[in-house]
Amino acid sequence: MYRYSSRFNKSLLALGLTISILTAYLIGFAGVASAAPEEQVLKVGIPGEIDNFNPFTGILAAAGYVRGLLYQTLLILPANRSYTPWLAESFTVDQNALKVVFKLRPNLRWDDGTPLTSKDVVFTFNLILNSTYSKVLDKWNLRNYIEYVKALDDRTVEFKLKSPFAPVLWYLGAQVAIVPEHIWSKVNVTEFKNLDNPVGCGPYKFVKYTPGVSVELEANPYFFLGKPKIQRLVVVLYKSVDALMLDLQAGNIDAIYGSVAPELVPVLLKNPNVRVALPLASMGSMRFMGFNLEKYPFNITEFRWAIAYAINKEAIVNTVMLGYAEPAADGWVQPVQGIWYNPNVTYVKQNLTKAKEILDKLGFIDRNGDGIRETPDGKPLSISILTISGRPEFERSAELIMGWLKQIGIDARVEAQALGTVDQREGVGDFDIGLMGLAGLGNDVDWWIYERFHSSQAPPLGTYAPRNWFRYRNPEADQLLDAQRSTLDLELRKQYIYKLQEIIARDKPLIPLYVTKPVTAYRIDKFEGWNEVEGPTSILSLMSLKPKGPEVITVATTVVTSVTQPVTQPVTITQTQAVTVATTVTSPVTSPTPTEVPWSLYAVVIVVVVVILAFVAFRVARKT
Amino acid sequence: MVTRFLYVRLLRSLIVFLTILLIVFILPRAMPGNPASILANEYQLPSSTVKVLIEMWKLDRPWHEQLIAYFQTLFTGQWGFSYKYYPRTVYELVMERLPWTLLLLGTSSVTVFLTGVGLGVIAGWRRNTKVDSIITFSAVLIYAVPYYWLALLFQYVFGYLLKWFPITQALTPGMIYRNVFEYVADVLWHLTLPVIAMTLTAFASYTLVTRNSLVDILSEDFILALKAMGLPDRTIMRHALRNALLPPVTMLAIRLGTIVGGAVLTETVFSYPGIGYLIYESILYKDYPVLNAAFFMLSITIIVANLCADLLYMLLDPRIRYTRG
Repeated sequence: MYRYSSRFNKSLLALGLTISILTAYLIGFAGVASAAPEEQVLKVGIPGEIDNFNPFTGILAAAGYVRGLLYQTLLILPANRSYTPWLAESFTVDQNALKVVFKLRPNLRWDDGTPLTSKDVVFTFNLILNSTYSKVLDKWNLRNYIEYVKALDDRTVEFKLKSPFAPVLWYLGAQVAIVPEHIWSKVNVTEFKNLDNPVGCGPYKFVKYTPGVSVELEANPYFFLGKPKIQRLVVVLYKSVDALMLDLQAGNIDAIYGSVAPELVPVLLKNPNVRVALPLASMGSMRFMGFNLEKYPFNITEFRWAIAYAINKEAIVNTVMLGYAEPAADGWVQPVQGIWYNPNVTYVKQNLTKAKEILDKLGFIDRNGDGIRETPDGKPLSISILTISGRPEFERSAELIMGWLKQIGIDARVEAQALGTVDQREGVGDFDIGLMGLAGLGNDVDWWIYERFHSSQAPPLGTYAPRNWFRYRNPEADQLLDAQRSTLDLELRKQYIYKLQEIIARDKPLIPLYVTKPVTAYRIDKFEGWNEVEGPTSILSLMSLKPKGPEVITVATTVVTSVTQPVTQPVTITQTQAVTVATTVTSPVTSPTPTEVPWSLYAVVIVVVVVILAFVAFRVARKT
Repeated sequence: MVTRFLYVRLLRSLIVFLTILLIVFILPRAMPGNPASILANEYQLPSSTVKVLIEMWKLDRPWHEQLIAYFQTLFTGQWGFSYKYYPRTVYELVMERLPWTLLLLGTSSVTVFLTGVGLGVIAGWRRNTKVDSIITFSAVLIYAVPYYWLALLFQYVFGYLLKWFPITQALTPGMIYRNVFEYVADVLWHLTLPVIAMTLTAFASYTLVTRNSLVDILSEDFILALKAMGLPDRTIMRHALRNALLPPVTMLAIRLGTIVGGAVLTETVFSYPGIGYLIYESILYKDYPVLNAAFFMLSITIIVANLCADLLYMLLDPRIRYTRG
């Protein structure tokens, strides 16, 4: 009897415990759901993770967005692609004296309140040019071009060049983010993670980083364009784009940083609160195929032309990218790159008869009638297109090209392999045709073109070549590449770049396929004032955003203006602005009122504790 | 007898361990491509940086030097910096993800075991009845559903349409907690969907194994003897279960051993911070330090879990220590 009663009591207790825990769990949900309305928080979703907030060594894009909000450059390159003053209020380039001078805005401050002066700028550049860290930090070999940097006064910084260096404004102005001397002089710069309390000078300042979940930021009152109207900004990290999209549609985030897959656009457009934008400022990336120029028959220029005639770039754009791309110009430099693009260089349109004619003329003829041409010495003309696996966009493009090559009698096949394998095989020259992607259209044209085509970057087969892996060697091109780099005359440089495009389009060491048009998306139910031209998550957009008040009597007049303002004016870019005049704006931003903890939570906890105590007491009583 | 069994078992584990470590060293390095150029390609790093990185990571050293350094770093615990997340240390990356992984997989292991074994016991006890066929059939059916599909469906229905549970993350991003209860509730609230999805796709194997094992035991002579003694069902069940639980307990032990490996699919679908995605990325980007440390930990826990399973067997079934060793 005694045994059974004990068992009965035990199970009763267990039941009680389970019920209490369950209740606590459920009430917990109620607590979460009924939490007091918090102040307006802007949430931006980003696929990716955080490596560090060190602008010198960070590489990951998600962290890059936060670094871009915290650390600022002297100049920026907005959608109109001309250097615009940012931390600097003006700049001069002295061609003869080889001097570049930046004048900082007055009263700049770091977000901890310390003044930002020319000393910080000099300190930052000296880290790169002239410190124990230079080897790691000087990614672009600026040491070869810059003699010194010095502060002329509190707001003026002077750079002296060793020789004319065309991309100087790009590197000095738009690439190097200025860091505070009072913090960075005390740390080991290359190993500085800067995750605890980064001090920057952007529109938002750091509050908290929750690993793998989010980065929380708040408006910086010291920002030189003024304090943003949205007090809190949370950058939410995602591991899958599908989940990111679902959260955007559900309203758990307000905008995304990065691009939407074209096939998702129709789904997003169905949601009345979601808008889809094609920001002019995000340049997209290019897809191209490179030939192994050291390998027969790809070393024959006419053969490469035949393949170019086989490709229908419009068809790839329409089927693979659903129209969210532009066929790419054959001269490597693209129309989105503005003044550097030579409008006379377009692209070869598909012409299968012409492709066949060229192959016939070269002696690639199908002698045994199996539908596949043979080389003059009788081997079947069979080639492979190497591309990266797991990227449907690449694989589908490669398959389309394979189909066209088969139509002109070339036995083509697609090899999709892991990124590392593809990279290695291309680097050492173990491939026929490589189909790859490349971002960075927004960088200086020298970055885009120099290492890609200069013969100094094409080592012999077997030695890894990072950029010029198709091994293009042309003395004429080398000369132009060197010339465009070492001039400070914009017009002259433009001529060299124009000429280079003609040579590349003529030689066809590679065929640019298309340039993507990045699509991005944001919600309009909580905030208004999004800047679509620069991108919904760009700094300029964050500065114009404001909470959408429920009681706002909206839109008296909507004036669409196109403003072009002189370079000396700060934030000014040619942009289309919708100016909304509202009569009354009641801000829904309320400070969080500390409400009491729901009593039920305490009650449940007390019950649980009592049950446990009773259980223990019961056991003790049994034993004695 | 027992101690000898233990020694042999330990020695065997050590050999397995060292072999695994050697394979972990060779395999990723045998694959083409080097970590620096993969990163350079993905993140558009200049070629001078690639040279600096290769030198900094000592990838240009002969392989025997790298092997010695590899064992040194592993056993001294100086796991070094991650390549992709430089300058963050491997230790730091693992430690910020491990608690989430332990929470997610620990909880789901318990629910999987309880659901699986519970249903298996019911099916086995009522073998060849309607209840048995319903449980067995539905278990097989759910088992056949691809995990990510089920998870996406859950996200869509319970997260997006009904809004009962959050779609992603382990916490509400940007939430300011007024007290610790809110924090715990928020964590549990976010844990629900992933755990249910994981439980549904994993419990079936436990159910089937438990059911079959119980059916086997119930047909043995000693059960007949117990029945003949007129003992109540409850008592017979207790005796049968003790034997029938061996296989599912082994399965659980092995599952617990793989916990530190995380769950790549769950973490990806639910954007849950965990170690599985880190390991997956380290393989993709050839992030050797992370990869080495992850497999070092994984092999230790799996070997220990297996050892524990063996020991547990000895406790549950005393005959085993005479048949082995």
